[in-house]
Amino acid sequence: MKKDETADNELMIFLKYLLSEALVVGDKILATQLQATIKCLSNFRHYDLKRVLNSLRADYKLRSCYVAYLTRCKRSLLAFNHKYEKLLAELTRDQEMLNKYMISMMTRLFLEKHQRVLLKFVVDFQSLVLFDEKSDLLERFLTAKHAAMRQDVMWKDATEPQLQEARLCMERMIMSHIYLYAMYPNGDGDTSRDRLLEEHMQKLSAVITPDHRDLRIPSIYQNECPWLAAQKELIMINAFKTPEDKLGCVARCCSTIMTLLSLSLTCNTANHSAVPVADDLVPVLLYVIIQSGTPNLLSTIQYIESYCCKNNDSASFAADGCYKNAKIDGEVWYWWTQFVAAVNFIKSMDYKE
Amino acid sequence: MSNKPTNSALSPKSYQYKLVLLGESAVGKSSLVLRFVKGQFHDYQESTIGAAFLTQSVCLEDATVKFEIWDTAGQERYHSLAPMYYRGAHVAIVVYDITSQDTFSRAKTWIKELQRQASAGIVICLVGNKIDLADKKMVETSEAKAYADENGLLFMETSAKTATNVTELFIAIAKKLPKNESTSHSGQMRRGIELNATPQTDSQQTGCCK
Repeated sequence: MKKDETADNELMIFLKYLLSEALVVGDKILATQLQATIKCLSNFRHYDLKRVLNSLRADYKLRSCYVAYLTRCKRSLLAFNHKYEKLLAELTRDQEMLNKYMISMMTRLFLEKHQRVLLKFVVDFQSLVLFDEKSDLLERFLTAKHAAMRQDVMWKDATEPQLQEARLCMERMIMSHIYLYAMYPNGDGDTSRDRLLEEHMQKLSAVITPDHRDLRIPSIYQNECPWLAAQKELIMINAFKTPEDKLGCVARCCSTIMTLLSLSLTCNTANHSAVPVADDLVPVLLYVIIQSGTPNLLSTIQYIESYCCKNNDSASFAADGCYKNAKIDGEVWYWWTQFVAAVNFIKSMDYKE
Repeated sequence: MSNKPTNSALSPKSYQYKLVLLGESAVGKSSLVLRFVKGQFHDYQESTIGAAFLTQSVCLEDATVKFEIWDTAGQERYHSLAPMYYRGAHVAIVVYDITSQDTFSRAKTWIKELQRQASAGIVICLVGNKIDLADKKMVETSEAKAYADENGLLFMETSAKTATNVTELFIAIAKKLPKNESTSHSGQMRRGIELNATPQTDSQQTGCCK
């Protein structure tokens, strides 16, 4: 009898504990329910209470199948939900791509309407000699065409982001018309210089190892050698036509290297706060550039330095005046500088093992 | 007390500067910057994939100064590439290890080079790191301080490990910077600075923020 009473008491203490917890978190509904339960239970004598509890237990047992069923349902619903979220992300991405494609098609149509002006621009561009004249002409032409686009009947309802995207498309298309003249202003001189570097890198790639005296890549970083993902990013550089796209390509190559290096670091060291730094990046970048054998590097550098860095050097920070400058953030310039430095270093390397 | 002119009531101006880190490989130049960028926010654990390029802002009383921090390779064999990194930089921090005389002489080489080749208005800061290892000290404070004074450099001894003087270093640089803006050549700046306030001579530090 005594033992049963303590059991009852324990039940009461448990309920009161739940009640106080509900009060602390401010759950008024639960608190009211608990208060009602306590009041109700206090009316029962021990024997009745036991019966109530037994019948509750039996009831719960009866429902356990149903509870299991509900749990299963919930699990599959969560799985569906996850799947739909992924589908939605894919669709959003598709939508973005389609929008981009549509804008690029419409830009193409727009430029076709202005074919004559464009051809005249290409001729003008070819006749210029100096880099800054060329890049000024390009910038002026782009701005003028973009302004004309805003007036165009097809574009008059376009939103600002669409117009910005259209400007990028227009730049890509115009660049593809003048690409060869912009990239190789000295014609054969440029291409033969590029070929020399390419041959030089090819010879280097035969002798170079991560332990080469000019690299000395620490062994903890050699896990991911030959950093293929980064090489693949870099090789793409000649597929892009605008300077910004090429810059983005170099930035992706460098940040891929950093990601791979930090992967090696977390695998090989106990210190999880350690991160790769510039000391680690430079030798790996040299290795990646040499092994990738990317062609046209010197012309690419000349091209970007003349069409992007000119605006970059002038100290205009205003949003309008330096359209190109505002788009490219400091980090991209950092990776670019690392890249140019690496190419310069490669030029000075020899074939001694 | 600051004797500032009228425009202090407006929203704080923000300036952006390029800062390069020079110093031999093991002197802890990256740890110094990581401590500056992350150290003030212990519960802020953004995963960094690298400490090659980082940004961090310092709030002064009347301005926000944002640093774009460029880490450079410290290995001797890449020394010839250094000018490409400090081209157009507004600040150079040259770090040596107080337990190694070699790193100090290397730092001096860098400073000479910077004075000869970097932008005219560049603020150069000499930093002796690892003062937590005071018992192994090889470079005397007085020696380094005298060298810094002689060459008109900022000087500080820090410990990236214990965070001693790290934030102080960047605040000191931030305070020194706007004054130099008027003397620097805009053509050599990689990025302009929106600076139209009169340079402050003694703006008070109010702390740091992200």
